[in-house]
Amino acid sequence: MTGERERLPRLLALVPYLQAHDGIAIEQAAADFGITEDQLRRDLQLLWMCGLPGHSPGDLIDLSFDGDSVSVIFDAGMSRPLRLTAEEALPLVVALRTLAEMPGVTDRDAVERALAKVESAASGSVDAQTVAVQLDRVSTLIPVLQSAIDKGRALALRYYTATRDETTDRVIDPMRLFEMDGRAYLEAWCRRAEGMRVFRVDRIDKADVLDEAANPPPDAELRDLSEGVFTPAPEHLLAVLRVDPAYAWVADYYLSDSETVEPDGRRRISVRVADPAWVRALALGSAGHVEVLSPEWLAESIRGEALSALAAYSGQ
Amino acid sequence: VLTVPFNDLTWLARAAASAGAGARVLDPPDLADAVHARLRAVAGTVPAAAGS
Repeated sequence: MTGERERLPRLLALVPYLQAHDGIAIEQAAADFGITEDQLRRDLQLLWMCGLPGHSPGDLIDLSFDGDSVSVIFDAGMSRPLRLTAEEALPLVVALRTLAEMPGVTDRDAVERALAKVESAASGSVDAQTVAVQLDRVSTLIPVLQSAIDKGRALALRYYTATRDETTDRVIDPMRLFEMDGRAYLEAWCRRAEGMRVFRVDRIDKADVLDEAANPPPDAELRDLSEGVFTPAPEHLLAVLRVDPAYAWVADYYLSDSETVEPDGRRRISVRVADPAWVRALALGSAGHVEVLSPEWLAESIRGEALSALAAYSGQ
Repeated sequence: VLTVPFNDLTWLARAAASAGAGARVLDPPDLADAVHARLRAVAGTVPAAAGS
């Protein structure tokens, strides 16, 4: 700590430190502050010129040197160690409490000790009643997932699939965590699906690191993310939709393969679909503004679903 | 049975209709009517409603 930014807090801490260690050897004091003896001597020379307004000799900090030891003669009011205001302590306490809540923190005792010191330095103005930190699920999960990747361990995952509105349990071999468009994702080999899958971390209900080693097949490949998380592939279903102008956003949102505008202003778009559930939900909710033209089985399935839903209202 | 507070009938009607036969609106009647109208348009029994 020899930079100018570190020097001021050190100077503020030096006077109470020297008072608490009257006549301490300069060598020992330098070691306690983690600086050289030369640096400490320069600090002491500077302190000698600091003090209270008036700046007469009786107002300045006075030190006494006896050989290689030093004592404080006049502290100019700096008799107490540095205290933190509530505003200064708050960010530190929040950060430390957050760290303490994180799973996978290896030295939790050190965090707790630092927290106790900061709270003490804040004179109790920021206590456990003032600041309580509860991490969201993503912040809690990410260290667990990262730990499984780092240790090469398989994970037992409970995952919510929004497009099918179902929660499933599966064992995966985690390979990569990444963030895209503000969301965290886990890419892994899924033993249930026997293929690579990308899981949104905020849809993971539960993740347990297993004792067994992760063992993805040798040909399991991480996907190219340069074009986004979802990469349309030839093996995906090709759906052709006719959308009214109010739903023109569908073409951009779902990365259409092709798009033509019909004379009445409606758009005919082709999209690659890994899971037709989202097309079904989109069309069902659209009040007829999104029409599936092909494949025919999907169009029929949506009409059938609408009729089934209508039948439920027939008794009302 | 779920009770869902809402202030945008169009939005909730769209969400409920998206669920197909997986959801049925019990109350209020205007929401049930809105969902019904959407589903009829999808089923092809009426033309698509304007402004939905």
